[in-house]
Amino acid sequence: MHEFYVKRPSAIHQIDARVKLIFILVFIIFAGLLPDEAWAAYILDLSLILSLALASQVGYRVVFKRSLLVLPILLAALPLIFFGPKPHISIELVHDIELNISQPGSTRFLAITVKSWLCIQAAVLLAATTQFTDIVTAMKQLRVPVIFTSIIDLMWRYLFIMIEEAQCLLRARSSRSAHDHRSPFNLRFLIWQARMTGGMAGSLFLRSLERSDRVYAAMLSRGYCGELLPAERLPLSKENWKILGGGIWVAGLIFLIGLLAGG
Amino acid sequence: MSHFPFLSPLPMHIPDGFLSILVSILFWVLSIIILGFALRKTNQTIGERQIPLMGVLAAAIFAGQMLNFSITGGTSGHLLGATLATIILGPWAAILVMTSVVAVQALVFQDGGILTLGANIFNMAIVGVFVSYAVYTISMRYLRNSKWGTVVSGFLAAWSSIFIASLSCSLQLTISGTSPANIVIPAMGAIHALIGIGEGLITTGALVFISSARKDLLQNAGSAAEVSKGVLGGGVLLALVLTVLAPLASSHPDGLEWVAEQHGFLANARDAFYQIIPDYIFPGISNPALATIAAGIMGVVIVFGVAWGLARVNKAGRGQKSI
Repeated sequence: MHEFYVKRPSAIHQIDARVKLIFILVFIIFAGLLPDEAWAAYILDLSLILSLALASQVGYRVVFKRSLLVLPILLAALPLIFFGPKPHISIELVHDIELNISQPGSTRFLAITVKSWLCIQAAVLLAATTQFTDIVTAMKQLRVPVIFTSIIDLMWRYLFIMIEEAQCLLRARSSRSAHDHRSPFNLRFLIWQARMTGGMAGSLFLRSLERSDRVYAAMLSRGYCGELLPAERLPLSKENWKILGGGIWVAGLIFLIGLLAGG
Repeated sequence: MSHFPFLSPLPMHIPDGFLSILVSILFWVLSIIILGFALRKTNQTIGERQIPLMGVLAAAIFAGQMLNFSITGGTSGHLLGATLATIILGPWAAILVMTSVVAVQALVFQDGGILTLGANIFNMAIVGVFVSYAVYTISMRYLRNSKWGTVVSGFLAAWSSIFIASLSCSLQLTISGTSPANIVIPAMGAIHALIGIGEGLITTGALVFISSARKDLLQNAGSAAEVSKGVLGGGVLLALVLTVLAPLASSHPDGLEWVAEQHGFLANARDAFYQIIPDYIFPGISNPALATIAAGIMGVVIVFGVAWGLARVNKAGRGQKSI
């Protein structure tokens, strides 16, 4: 469990995090607005992602592997193929048993698959080329309320410590109760297991409360008076504006092509 | 996938591309309005000491979602944590903490989309916390503040928060034309009714542990003295609306499904863009695209107005009471 950041000396890594954040958002909106059958635009979007992956020296393989995360969730859209609107195509599987496949439903399913896959690749690229602390700074500069950025800032600082504590708890449990082979349908056993897990969650919570006391004391002793260090209010440089404009222009152009040529 | 021990096999974290742009933006607006209230509330009530508390607790909830126990067939029960956060922190702070958790999951670990983040925040942070709070408070009132009361109320709150959040999630998928209502709502509901049992059991386990180790933490939660009427009413309302709407939508596919069809299928290719809310075309504007945009803006304004009005009424009520 670690941050998905691929350190490379590329120009894309250097771009202001605000630019990347806004560009990804625009890209996702344009991709979502495309009509279902805009296959040409999908291919252009994919090639845009490919070239960004190459230019950032992250490599497409990493992005592709990570993007497969979206696969299990496609299950939610799968019923569209069989229960979508008419016209249906019947395929006779065995004698008298027919499989109805909805044509528009299948198209829509394909479109959802492609769109969500494109979007997750864009998000993966953002995470791979931008350190999360930079994203938080960008959020501060984009005027996300201070409470949020403070919570997220502190959360990020202690996240991996808490994850290690959770892993310790899990390791301790498995080393003590080994692998129990009682029937999984044994209700009392199941409830006992759940209660143990609950105890672990409770102790994780209490530990985090105690840690937050210590953190607060440490912060106070260093002069904390209600606010974390604010981010510098740097305006975007001319170059970054150009990059942002260019990026949005390309994404918009692909959208227009999809709108005019699609379907 | 070893980096994602907490990744749920179920579509509670909606990825980008699964919700239509209109639905995504609508839920962003709704979530931002409610988060705005949560910010104002917490700004009034919390001290500077609460910031590190919320930050570290958010990290703990994120990590706590890794804790699981195996049930048959490769499935496992695990924790979302909205109920625990609500009981320990109170509703408004819990909303902020859960929002931070969901946002980091989306931005760093791609668990849930960026544009759909608004909808995910709505389901997991807002619906989860509101429903938890309403169920816990009401149930505690009937069961008094006994230890058994805490256990039973905690279980009920955790179960209903998961179940109702899943209904909200499946309704969003249906409105977007991603899944047929008569399939996805019963399926999601049934699966999450089971997952909710796991959440409930873990939550009660945690509550029992906390009540024997640090009883003081549970004392102030849900006590009649500082019940937040707004959250209570909101939670009850959300629970009622969603439980009524979901079966209605799945048994009358021509209801919500109709929206989905208008929105997704009927319009092919180019028309799809112009027919986002086709029958709501504005009178007096002949250009269909402009009319649609106007209709969309109107919809957002109406939602905003209703939310604002509710809050005003709510605030006025509270004001009188404090005098």
